[in-house]
Amino acid sequence: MIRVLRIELRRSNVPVVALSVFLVSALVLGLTFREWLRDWSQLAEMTEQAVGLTAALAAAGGAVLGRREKRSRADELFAGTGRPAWQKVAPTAGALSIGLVAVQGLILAAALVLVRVNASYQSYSAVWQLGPDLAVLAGAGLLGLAAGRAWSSAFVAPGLAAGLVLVQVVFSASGVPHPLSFFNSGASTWTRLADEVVLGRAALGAGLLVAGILLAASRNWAVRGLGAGALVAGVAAALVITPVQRFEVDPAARRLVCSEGAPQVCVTAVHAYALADTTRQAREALGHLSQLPDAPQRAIELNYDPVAAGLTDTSTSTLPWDTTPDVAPGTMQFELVLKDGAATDPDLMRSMVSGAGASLNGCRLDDPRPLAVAGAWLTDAPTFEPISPYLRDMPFPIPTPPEEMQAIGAAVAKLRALPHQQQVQRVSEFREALRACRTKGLMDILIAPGPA
Amino acid sequence: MITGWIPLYVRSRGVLLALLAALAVIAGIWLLAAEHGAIDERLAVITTGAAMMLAGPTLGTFDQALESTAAMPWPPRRALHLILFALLIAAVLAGIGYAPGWVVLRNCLGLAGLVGIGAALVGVRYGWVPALLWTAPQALFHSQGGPVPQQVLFWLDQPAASTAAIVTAAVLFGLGVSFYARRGGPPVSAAESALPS
Amino acid sequence: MRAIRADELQPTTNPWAIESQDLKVRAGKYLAVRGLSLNLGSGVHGLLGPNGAGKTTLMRTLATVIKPHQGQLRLLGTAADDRRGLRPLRRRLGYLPQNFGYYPKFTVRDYVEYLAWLREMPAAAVPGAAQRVIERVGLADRADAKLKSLSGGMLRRAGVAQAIVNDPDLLLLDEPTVGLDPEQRVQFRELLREIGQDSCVLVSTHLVEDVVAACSDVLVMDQGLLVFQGRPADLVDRGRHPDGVGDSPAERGYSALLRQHRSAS
Repeated sequence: MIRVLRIELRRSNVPVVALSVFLVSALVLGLTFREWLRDWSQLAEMTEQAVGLTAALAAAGGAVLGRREKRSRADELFAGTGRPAWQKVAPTAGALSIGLVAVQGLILAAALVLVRVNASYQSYSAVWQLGPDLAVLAGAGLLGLAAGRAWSSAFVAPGLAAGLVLVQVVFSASGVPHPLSFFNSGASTWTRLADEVVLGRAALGAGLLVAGILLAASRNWAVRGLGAGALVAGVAAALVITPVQRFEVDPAARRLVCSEGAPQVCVTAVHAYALADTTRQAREALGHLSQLPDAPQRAIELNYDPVAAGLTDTSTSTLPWDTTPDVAPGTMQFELVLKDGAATDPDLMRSMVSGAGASLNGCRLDDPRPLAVAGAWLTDAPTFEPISPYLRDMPFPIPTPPEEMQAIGAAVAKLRALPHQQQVQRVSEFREALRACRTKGLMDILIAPGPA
Repeated sequence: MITGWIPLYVRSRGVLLALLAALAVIAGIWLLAAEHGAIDERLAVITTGAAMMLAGPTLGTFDQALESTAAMPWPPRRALHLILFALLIAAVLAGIGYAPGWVVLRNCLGLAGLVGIGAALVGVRYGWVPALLWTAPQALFHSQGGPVPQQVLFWLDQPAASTAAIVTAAVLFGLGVSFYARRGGPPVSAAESALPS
Repeated sequence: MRAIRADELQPTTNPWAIESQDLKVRAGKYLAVRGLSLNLGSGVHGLLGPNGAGKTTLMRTLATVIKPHQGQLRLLGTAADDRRGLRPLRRRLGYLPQNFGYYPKFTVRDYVEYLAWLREMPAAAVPGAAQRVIERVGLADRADAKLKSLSGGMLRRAGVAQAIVNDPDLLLLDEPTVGLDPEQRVQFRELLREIGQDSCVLVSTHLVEDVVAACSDVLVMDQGLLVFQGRPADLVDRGRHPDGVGDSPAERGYSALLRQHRSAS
């Protein structure tokens, strides 16, 4: 058996199938490397997508392998040998499963190790997901094998592959997250993969695996019926168990991790790896802000319950407007944008002084220019690039036109032309207006002629 | 009147089966998912991809070596085979209303080229894999517009006006059809040549 | 070491390896073997007959690939419809189909070992047995070459190697000499004689001279019936009949036999 298994591993199409699974998985995870390197939820999302694609390949590869016996007319020769049918299939099915699981397991395990090493906050549901993911992949391969054995047509392999992708597209196109979809997004910064998702995937994987084994190995209709039953049961269980909201809020991910010394700067546990640089920039910003009376003594990273905020996907612009931030007096919030897993947010200090440290107040601010004027005044800069609160995480930032920069510079000059005490008074008043969510006429507060 | 080699050619490659399967997929998806005479663009892309992938297994026959010895000039027939399959699928897709005619035509011809490249390079059994691997992400992560490389990558998703998509499809079509027409498939050893594709 | 099963120790009470009584076998809807009674013991038996005589259908039946439609068939003492006896019986069979299938990417050794495993040889014996039969058919230098790289004759010899890897008590070879060059055919006959000393070998062929040279016994089939069974010398004797056409006495005997049978029926 071991000998025959080795022959199958080397001489069947298993190496080709395994190589293509490797390439597709490596491509998916390689292209998104920076997104998941420090983030378990992102990793869970990407591995799901990789498995969703490679399962289609595995099924097609299995179908080609299953068709081999009839295509090469070896069935005539094999029919006169004594091994029971299930034993004849065992090395082939074994080689396919081993090839698929080994290759995909290797890539996923490497990714898990990378995240374990690089993430500040550990959430192990993505690790448990490894088993079900591999079961789904091997199960898809074995079902393909069974299909190829049942219908030895050249159309089975492309039909299966296209069909599996088609089903996933149907789920995506329906717009509602589907429990069986492998292409749901929904991870956000402070979430973890729900345990029920792992359970649901485990049910699906077990169903596919059992069905694949029984359908490939037996010619007995009762056993085949059992296999079909296992498939239906697995899919049904997955449908029932898997929640629509696949990522759940994890309070541990939002726990604040704070720097030593004063003033205190805190980030959420997910971003603890960026604490050092954040502290440096935040203290610099707090220093600038201390020019105003009643200045904040402490800065914490903006955080909120992403589900309560209706935030299901970090890549959309559904942002937590209209939620009043829950901060103690003397503490200000900042938004930490760590692009591509970097340990530093290059614009953090500027975003903190923009709007005199009061821009993340839950109000919708349509005009970021007055915020920039306050930022320029605080940092003694001639002009200041406007920063829209909550919108810093845009994939393609639009540069500010030079005439707008000039207009902001002119406004700053106007503010600076006032007596110093009035300058401080006006900026303070501007800050109070922001805190109270009075978002109209902000520029007037800063530079309108007459007494403030 | 259809005479001579055409019925034999069609039968030897299972073209009718492939067309029937493709039509079943196209009609099935439409009945299942179309609303108010229109269908989700992602579904249109994957349905086009699936239908054209089914052309893959028809690009070879029982005995490649035997056919290559025949006196018939194969290249024009092979080219015609790919083009006609694509045009037929495109006509059905456009007729039902999957997408505007030009988009469907561009996508079907481009995919025909991709399937042809696959068949010529790796043979009939796996010739459809490149088409699958390029169609799947375009259907799943549907993306329109953006910089030119992105439009090329997502050429199936682009609207009719996108030059990048047209050029991509044209290049694929030209390469695939000429490559497949000339080569047919990778060389097959004597011992293997009598096995069906 | 392995445990020896009771059925292996049981003496073969029946001297015949193949024993059939009024055997009828269908090939599709067509009755290809129409009442065949036959007793064959050890030795090399040549099966001759024109195309469509039912030779391949008979071989497939004897190889337990298809089931008889009617009549009795015992192989190595086991009734062919005895479902529990089938598995031990198949361990003692060797079979080379006419269009024998193989996986092009397997090497000769892989192929022979794979079939040895399918015939349920003890795992420890497989590598040695495979090497032995590969040497016996003269493919030792190509043992690790892929099957798709072999010529027709080499491929046929690889097929023979897999058929004899388990030292079968009943060896069925359907047109094994196709594609062999004259020298290889001489060697192959030698191999057949060796195996025939203690096994029953049934060789289906169109080559009359192969039968005369290598077989201890000749069977001629036509239209699903057995028309002749005897020694090769008897066939040669028939060649003196004026009906016979052919280049050798055996060929003339064969064609005379068929003519007589056809005119009688």
